[in-house]
Amino acid sequence: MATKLTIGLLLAPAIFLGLLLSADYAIIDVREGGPDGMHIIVPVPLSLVRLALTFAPAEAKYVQVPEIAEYMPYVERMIEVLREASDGVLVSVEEGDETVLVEKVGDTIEVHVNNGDDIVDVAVPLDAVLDILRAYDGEGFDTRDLIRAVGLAHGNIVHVRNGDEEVKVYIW
Amino acid sequence: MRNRALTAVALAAALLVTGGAQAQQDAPWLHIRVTEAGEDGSRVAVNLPVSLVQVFADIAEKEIQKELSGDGSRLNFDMDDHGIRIADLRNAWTELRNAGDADFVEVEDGDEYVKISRAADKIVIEFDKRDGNNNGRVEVPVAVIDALLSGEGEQINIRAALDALISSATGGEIVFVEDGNTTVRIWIE
Repeated sequence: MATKLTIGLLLAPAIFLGLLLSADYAIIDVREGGPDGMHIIVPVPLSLVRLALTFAPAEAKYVQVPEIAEYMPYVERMIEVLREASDGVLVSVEEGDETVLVEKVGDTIEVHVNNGDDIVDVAVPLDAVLDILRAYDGEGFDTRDLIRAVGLAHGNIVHVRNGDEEVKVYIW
Repeated sequence: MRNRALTAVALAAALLVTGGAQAQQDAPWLHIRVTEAGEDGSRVAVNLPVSLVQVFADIAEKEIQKELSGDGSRLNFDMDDHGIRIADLRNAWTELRNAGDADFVEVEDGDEYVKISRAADKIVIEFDKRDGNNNGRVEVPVAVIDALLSGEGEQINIRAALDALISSATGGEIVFVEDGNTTVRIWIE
């Protein structure tokens, strides 16, 4: 019994370490403005988030959206069409000093918004969207599948700037 | 011999790949431009692969069919309870279509003027506020309306209409509207 306990105690940190090393990380990087501004970097191992969700309440584990079921095949087709389309600007709006730009760059849809004060850049990998769509079971999504899909992205997915303050989320 | 076979396979593969890439590059796109005059005027540009617009058309068709089956198979163009049956619309179109080139509707109300006419293979809708600023022209190929009403009974065929629009309007302008300071252009290229 004592031997089993010892093995268990030795294995648990090894499994935990293995999970950490093999994980995709969402890195949240917050930089405050000014000379004394804080710079916080929080690495979030996505596999641990998925593991934690296993023990979460049912409503956190599953998002119910049965009303979108009939549109899912269409959305999947849209993503396939966008993947096959050549790169270029899909939407561009300019109004005074505010701009919105949606463009296809490789297998990613990039959204750039500049309202004069804030600059927001978001990159949505089409593969990740397809993965999310395919995780839909006709009633809703398992949030662990959503987290796994986020892990399919690589590089900056969100970048918000306001003056010398900025927030970045990237997958590593 | 084996090398020749391999070269032939490689050439065929290369042709397929470059052919696919060419087809992708040649695939038509729908372009929309909305431009407001003046330095601070808005400028909107939308460029979408036509194949994506076809998906939107399929969704629209599905929604319209749902709407039709929900309220007695009538399209309701804000006419209170007096919707229009698709079958009636189809019959009316058959009559108009056979009439050949003609002015179907011409309305003059004060300084506003609207004319709907058939010119060769197009239905032309022109409107003008006669103030020199507000005018527009929409050209719809006859083939598009044929395709739209090509279903049976109370069905309208949006996807077929879009396909007809693509094949007849590629390279040309579909909509041009000048309304005061705003210009709207829609074309497929």
